Amino acid sequence: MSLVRLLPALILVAALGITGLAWNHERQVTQKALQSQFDFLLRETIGRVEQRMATYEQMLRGVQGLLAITEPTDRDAFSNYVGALQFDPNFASIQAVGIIKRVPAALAPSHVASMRRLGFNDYVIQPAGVREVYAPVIQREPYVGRNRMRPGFDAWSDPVRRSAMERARDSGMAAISGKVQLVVDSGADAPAGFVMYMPIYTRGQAQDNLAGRRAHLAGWIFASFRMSDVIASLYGEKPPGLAFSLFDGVEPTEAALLYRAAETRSRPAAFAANEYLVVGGNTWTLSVRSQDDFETRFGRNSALIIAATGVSLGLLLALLTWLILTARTRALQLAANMTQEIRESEARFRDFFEKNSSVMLLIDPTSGEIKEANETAATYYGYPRTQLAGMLIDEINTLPPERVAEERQKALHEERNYFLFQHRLASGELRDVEVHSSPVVSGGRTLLFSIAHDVTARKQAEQRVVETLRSSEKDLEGRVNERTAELSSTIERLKQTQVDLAQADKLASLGALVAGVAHELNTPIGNALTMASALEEAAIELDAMVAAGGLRRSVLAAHAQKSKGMAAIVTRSCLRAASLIASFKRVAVDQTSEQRRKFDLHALVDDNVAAIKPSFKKAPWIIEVDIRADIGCDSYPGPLGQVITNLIQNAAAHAFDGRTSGTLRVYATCDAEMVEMIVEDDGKGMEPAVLAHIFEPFYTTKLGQGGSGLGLSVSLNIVTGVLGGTLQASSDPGYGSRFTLRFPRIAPSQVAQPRKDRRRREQPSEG
Amino acid sequence: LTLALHDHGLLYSAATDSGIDKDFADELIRRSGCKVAVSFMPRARIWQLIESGALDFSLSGITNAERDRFAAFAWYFSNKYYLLVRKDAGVRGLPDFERNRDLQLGVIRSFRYSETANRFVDTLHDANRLSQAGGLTPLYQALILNRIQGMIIEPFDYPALEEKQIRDLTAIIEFNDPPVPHGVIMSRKALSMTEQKKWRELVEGMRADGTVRRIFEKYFKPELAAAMVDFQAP
Repeated sequence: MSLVRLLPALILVAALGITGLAWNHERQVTQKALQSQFDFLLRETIGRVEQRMATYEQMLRGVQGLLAITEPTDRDAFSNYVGALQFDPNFASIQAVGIIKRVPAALAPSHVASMRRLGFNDYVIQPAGVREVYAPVIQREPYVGRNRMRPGFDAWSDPVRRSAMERARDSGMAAISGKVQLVVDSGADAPAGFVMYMPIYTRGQAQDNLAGRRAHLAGWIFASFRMSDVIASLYGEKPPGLAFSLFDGVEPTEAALLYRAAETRSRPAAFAANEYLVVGGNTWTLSVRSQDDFETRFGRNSALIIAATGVSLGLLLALLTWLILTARTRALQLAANMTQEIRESEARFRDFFEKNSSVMLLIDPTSGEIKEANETAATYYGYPRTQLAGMLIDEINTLPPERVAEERQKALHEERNYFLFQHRLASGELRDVEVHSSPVVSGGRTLLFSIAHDVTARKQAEQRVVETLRSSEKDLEGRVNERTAELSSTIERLKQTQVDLAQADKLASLGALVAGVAHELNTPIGNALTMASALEEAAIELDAMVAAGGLRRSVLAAHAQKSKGMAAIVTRSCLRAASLIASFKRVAVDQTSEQRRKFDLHALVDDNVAAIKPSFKKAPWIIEVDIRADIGCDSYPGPLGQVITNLIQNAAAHAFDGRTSGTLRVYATCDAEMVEMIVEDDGKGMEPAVLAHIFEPFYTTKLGQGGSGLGLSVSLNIVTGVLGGTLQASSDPGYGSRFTLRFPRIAPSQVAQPRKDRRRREQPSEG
Repeated sequence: LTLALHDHGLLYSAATDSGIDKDFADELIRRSGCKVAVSFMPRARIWQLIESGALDFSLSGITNAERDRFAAFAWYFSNKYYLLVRKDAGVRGLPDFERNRDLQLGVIRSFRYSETANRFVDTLHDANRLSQAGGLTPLYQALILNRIQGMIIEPFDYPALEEKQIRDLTAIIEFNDPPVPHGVIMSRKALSMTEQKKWRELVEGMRADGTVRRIFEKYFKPELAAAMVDFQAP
């Protein structure tokens, strides 16, 4: 069992172990690949150096060949030969090729003398000093640049060079010196160089053994090099990812340094090697180190991928194993947890049900049997719990059983879950209850879980509120009626007041008429009175003349003529007055009597205009009347006259305020039945806001200036009432107003209520 | 025809242009009657040229599977290999040397040895503990300077051991391998089987008439010379 439990860990360990092995193997493979790459590059570098040296040696063998057929003193042949070698870039590193002559001390003076004879006037062997043997450089080619320095350097005097020269002499082969500073290079920072020597033996002498070679040595040929130039010409391209240094001898010390490449390394070299080259009998140490980009260039990083993948897979595998192994345990645990939860849930429900203060029942939805009831239910219904459980809900619900069953089905199918019922208690008392009922599954059966709340008190309270509302409604109705009655009587009073006011208005206009007429009468009567007085005086004068007896015929005739004239004036004036009075009488009678009669429209208008004309005598406007003389009407001249008067007075009062001139025209047209009479002015007109209200009673723009506000209202009543016609007003503000009065020539017979509620108002259409 | 020598102790010294190989070459050339150009170059270069066919002969070569592909041999002596170590390296046997990661072994590039020695060298190579050289001389110098702590030697290298400086400094550990045969190296590319056979017969002749033994006795004590030249050619 415990082994099984350890399985995931074992698998993980195994997977990690295998990954480790794979990773290590891959790392080793990579390391090996890198190592062999490094080896390859190292070998290649060594090969290049050795090959290059072999080439130089071969080149010197050529020179050796030349000297086998010419004398070392044939300077031109040597110069030409070296020139013919044409040092291309591969040989660019060769600083000079030259000849060294072996000069025993005894032969030194004659050697110097012969050199001087060749033109080197100040030729000496350097460094100076007495030595057994000298080996002066006698020629150096190509004879250009630094190589043009004076010959005479004794190479044998320098131990480093001498060692190589001895090796060359003994082996008969090329020998390379250790690190030297070339003679042609002066100064402390001169580049490191080396010299390759090749022996020259006296022609025709044996040289196949050491003794022979030593005995017949004539001199050397040499080639001198700067190491940096050699390396530069060696590598078109540096060995990839590597940097190397070259030292003379086996010790990589600064003193022995021949060449050092720039390094690009930020961490210790992964690969490094020292290799000892033997070149021309001399040892060089090549020190090679891998650079940062070596591993990048040649390495692989699959080791890391293997490690990451292996570890991930191992972990996954272990996890999977763990999951499989623990699946049953976890399932059991889960089941236990769920069971526990269900138990707790059941207990909570039981608690909730038993101890709840609400009435709760579990009911079989089919039979209606109460399966369970809580303590609160038992108390509420007044049955012992044991009895209540087992009863049918029909015994409690007052609805017919089939209705109760229907409602149960609705609750079961969750179509409804709220009900209002009446329940009967054990005591027989009926209570209103509100029931929430929903299906619950218990023990594989579906039951209805019902919660009942007693709402009897609430219902009663609601009932009381309804009753209160109803009585309030009745109260309100009574009060509304009272108010309505009050309002009606007020309106009635108002109407009466309006009538009274209209009557007063009428009387007022009559007063104005009287004043006008009185004024008109004043002139003819005054004339008559004057003439009568003059006639009286003439009669007295005649009488006196008669008395004095001085009356002559001519005087009497003159007096008679004069009296006739004066009497005519009196007569005419009195006739005029009588006419005026007749007219006034007609108007007054018409206006006060409202009697229907036949009249001529022209005469009626004339009479009325004449009656009020004196009021406007001083006004700046004039009145023009243009009505045919043959328009006969059978109507009510009084009211019609009042309308005309009102319209003229209205215009007089409002139209020409602030104007210096104006015309008020009254004219009429007619057909067989209707008369259209127009009263228009060219005054200031009315604003629409004013026009809309002009026919309303008491509307005036001149309150406090004599306007009663009833004139147009009364006129409208008259026209639409007794006259059976229409009255329209229109106005063009700034240009004038027009009132159009249309009425039948024969007025309709008055049947009933001639003036009440028959008003018609028409709004203007002009402008 | 071309023959190349390499500088290796008593076998050949370029400095004096003499040695066993030189003597052997002279005698072989003389007997063959052929004109053979003898040159001198590093051993690694020799193997390269033998493989490519640019060089016909070299001497004192040993074989392995790889070399057998491109070279044929005419055996004329055999010898054992020894590990020369600095006394101060604390090495008593091969495992000691292998264990101490600070120890560097100097070898001549392209050289092969006896079986155990080869394995030893290859192990150190994989551990990046080899210092390669183009010849024997720098290895002695490096050993003296403690830049390497060991190198593999053959009887030809004994004269160096007689120098006091080296003798005082070093100890010799033997590889427990049988002697390894050495012979004339012939480039398979350059020489036909028939030619190889002829040259092999020449070498056999030199062995048979004691010429080889005489050459070796010039450089070694008679017993050692005998031990080297008396062997069963494979």
